[in-house]
Amino acid sequence: MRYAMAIDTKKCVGCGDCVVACQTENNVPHGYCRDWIVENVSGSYPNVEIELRSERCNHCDNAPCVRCCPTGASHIVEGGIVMVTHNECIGCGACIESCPYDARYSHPEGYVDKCTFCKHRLDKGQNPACVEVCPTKCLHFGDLDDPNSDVSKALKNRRWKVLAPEAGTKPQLYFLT
Amino acid sequence: MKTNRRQFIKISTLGTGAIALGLSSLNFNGINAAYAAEKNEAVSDEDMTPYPTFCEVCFWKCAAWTYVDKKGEIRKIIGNKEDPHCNGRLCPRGTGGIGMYHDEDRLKTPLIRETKENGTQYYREASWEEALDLIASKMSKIKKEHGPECVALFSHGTGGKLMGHLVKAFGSPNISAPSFAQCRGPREVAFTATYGEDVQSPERTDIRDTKCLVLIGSHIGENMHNGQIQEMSDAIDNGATIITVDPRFSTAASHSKYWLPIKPATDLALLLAWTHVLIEEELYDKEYIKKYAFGFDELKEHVKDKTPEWAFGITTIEPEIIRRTAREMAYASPAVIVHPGRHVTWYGDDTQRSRAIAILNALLGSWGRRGGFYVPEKVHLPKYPSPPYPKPSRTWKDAYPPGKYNLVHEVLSTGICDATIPNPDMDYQLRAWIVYGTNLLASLPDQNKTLEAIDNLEFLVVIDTMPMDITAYADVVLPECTYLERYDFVRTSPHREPFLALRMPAAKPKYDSKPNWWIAKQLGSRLGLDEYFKCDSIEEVLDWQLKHVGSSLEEMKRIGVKKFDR
Ligand code: SF4
Ligand code: SF4
Ligand code: SF4
Repeated sequence: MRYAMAIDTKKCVGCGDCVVACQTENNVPHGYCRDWIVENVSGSYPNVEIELRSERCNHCDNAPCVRCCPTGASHIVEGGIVMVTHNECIGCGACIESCPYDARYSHPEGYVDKCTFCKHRLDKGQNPACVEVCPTKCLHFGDLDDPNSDVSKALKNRRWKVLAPEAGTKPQLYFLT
Repeated sequence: MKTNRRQFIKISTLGTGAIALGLSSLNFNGINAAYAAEKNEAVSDEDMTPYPTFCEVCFWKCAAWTYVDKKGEIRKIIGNKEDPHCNGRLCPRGTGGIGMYHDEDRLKTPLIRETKENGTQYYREASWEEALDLIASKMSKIKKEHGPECVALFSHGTGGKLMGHLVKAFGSPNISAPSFAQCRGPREVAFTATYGEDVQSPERTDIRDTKCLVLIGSHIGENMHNGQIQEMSDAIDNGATIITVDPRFSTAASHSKYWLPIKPATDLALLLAWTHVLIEEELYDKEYIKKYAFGFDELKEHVKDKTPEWAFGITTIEPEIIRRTAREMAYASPAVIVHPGRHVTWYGDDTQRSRAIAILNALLGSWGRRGGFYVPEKVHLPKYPSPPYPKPSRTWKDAYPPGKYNLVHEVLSTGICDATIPNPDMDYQLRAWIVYGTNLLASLPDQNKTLEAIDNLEFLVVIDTMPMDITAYADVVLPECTYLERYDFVRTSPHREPFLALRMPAAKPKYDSKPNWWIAKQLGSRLGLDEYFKCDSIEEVLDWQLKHVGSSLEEMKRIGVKKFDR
């Protein structure tokens, strides 16, 4: 099993609903977020383009944040989800430095936090909160090993890219272009 | 203009002295306030109780479930899957709606304006009893001295109806929503003039099934008119052509096949040129026009010289692009929508521009067709019995020369302002305003005129959940509880099929805030209007209404939304 997410940049409108839904679902403290929106404007008038991306932890196959964690708080669980055990984390921040995607933040209570793909929901057969709320249904989630999963189907029919492939982290967020 | 009699008073958060003013009321300050009470862990849905509601953050009114944890804290709001307004997915504002409930800057207690010996004014915290008594005595005095029509109501949102009931029972017809003239007014007047029916809210656009969507200054995707964004996304999947007319490269433009960066304020010329092309190239729906329309020959004559070349000089859009986009619309016809937009008050030519849009849609045969404009359905709930309203002897229009604003079918907010400023030519002047759920300083044009009108008021009551510009000018401020803490009238908005949605409280009102029903009834009883508020609670009214259409409050509490047969 390999969980992954595909984000359709042709449909995302950058509304930020995925961000707010994550905040209320995961009780993220005020002023912080686990996912965020990037708006990339390119070209010059009148030939302009905007790419909108909903970003979060890439749950990398080759995760530097896990390798550099001195306590083992950062670890990988079934399905490839990268997790942080809060009460084992000493808040040293090594993982924050090592992540090429800036996906982690220091929680005011002294540990490091980030996206969990809403593991507590996956365990019950539900989708992550961001996927469930997105008004444009541009977030596709599921198991890459299952050819019928939403994410596998989305990747089959479209061109996609990953972010910072040169970092060698083997990220598991795919951006449909 | 004389100097302000009413000083601007900042309402500061009690205890901390922090100031919350102006447009800051829409930040998401409170979303994570629940965090303080709980550890940073998600709570599973099974450990929470969901209560039905419909969102009040905007007019789309998406039905939803408010999730409350074991401690009674509201934790999240999730869309109701059965509701066609949202299909289980709220927009970011609706998802963040719990911020309204948790916000520490909320209005917490009634406030009464006082003046110190040195002349500075301030708000004194008051009991509901005292505040309501004061409002009732001022209203009664104005009624006696000038007539009940001299009290006006500005309102916005679902709860406005209840306040409207109170003010009508009191005897005033001067009830206005600033949103009408600012937002849908020109569009609804124009479509009614063309089709005999307006576009309504939510808009009757069948974007889901359309093959061509034309957006003129309509920022779907940046505005979060939920159902439309969801359907535009479906339309993208279905390969629909999107044409966006906007001087700015908007989000919608970035998702469109055509972006027409028009010179601002020249949209009407583009619309006429499109009309010209459809007629000149005989691309319009001839059968439809023959069957349903009159005046075609006059239209043809009118647009004869409105060529794309003519429009190019005005709009800066290439003639070739004007022709190509007109043809795209015609190929998709009748599954094409030239979107009527929302918030269409722009340049002063708004009603005529909206008429041109309506006529263009008629040429494309899209009104009443799949992929164009559907015919909306709604449930008609009977009104709870109460005596007829007294007949007012004057309305806001009496403050104008006869014949002014003939087409307007709702009360104009600017009309209320004009009628509040003394004018030697009229013997009619409004004396008091009740402002419910609308920040008038930001929702009316010509702020100076609004301030001048406020300056001439004998009495100003503001009822809201948050401090904002208008609260700073009130004589009495009443803190209403948020939509998550109260019942309201059942949602009956039109859609493809008739639906009802219930809003019920998920928590007790915070602080000393009260629901609108209670406020209206209390004022009603102080004004001798008990017979208009015979029920002890709004639950009784809702149950009575729902039973008339084969449902009940008990059933709606369980399911939240109910679909009816067409
Ligand atoms: S909710 Fe969906 S459309 Fe909105 S920003 Fe997130 S991914 Fe994009
Ligand atoms: S995105 Fe960053 S935090 Fe997430 S797994 Fe990769 S390196 Fe670690
Ligand atoms: S569109 Fe958003 S703000 Fe408006 S009613 Fe729906 S969820 Fe609420």
